[in-house]
Amino acid sequence: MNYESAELHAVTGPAIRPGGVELTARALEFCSFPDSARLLDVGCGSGASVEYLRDHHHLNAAGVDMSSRLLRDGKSRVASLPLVLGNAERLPFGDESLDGILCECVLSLLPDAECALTEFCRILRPGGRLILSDVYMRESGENQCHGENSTDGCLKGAVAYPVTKKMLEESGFTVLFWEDHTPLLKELAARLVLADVASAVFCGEYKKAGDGYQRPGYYLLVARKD
Amino acid sequence: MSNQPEESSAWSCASCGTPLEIVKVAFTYMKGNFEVPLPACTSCGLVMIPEDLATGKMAEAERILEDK
Repeated sequence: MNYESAELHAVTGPAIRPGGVELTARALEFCSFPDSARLLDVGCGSGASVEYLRDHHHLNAAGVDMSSRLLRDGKSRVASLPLVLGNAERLPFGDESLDGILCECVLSLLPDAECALTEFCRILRPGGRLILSDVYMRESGENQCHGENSTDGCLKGAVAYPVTKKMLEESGFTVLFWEDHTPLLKELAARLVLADVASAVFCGEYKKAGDGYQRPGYYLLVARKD
Repeated sequence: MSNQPEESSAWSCASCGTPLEIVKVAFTYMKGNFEVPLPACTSCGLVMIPEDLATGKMAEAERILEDK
């Protein structure tokens, strides 16, 4: 999946993920950020969530992404958006300098998710909130591993929820809230199929020998830095 | 049969005889809202769903939505 493609954006809009900013709004209900709280959207793309957080919730939100093209798209949409180039494993922010981090449909794409979570923990203040939404494996047998049978990159790093929870705990977070939003993933996958942007592999089945099927789902969670 | 725009003019509405045109048709399935360009009658609204679309992309989207 090419996240910079115009065909993809035509289907998703600027928020390139299931649920768009409506899911971001849902997460904020569980965070109680005060006005002007400092938030960072890691993997912000063209900054749809950053724009939403600033305009609708009066939060001091910034974004970081490794795609200069998507950042440029965001700046051309709203020149004042604070978007910077960078990667999730080495963020240009000081220790305990932020009240919240968003990482929407990005963690599973990172080459080293554990390293990124450790970095998130470093820059969040104690008690700060981490908002995660991402693909995951809904039906997990003994083999709770990555979806390496997929030929499509966007589900490569999907793991079962217990794996994510363990990673979060080992990185210094406590999960406060988790809920399933798989229908949003399925709706987006169907829209992409109908628009000829992606094949059903996007939301396909994962055959595991002797272990039935694993199907991708989508979750939203909020965690607190301990 | 294909749903390509250039082939839509070969069809006329069985109900009122108006030549079909490609329009964005909105539909809802399992609480999801979708839009697909399809040959449709701009006079009476009748929509033609070509067989390859019904058994191809639409069937694929249906499988995803129904978790099959």
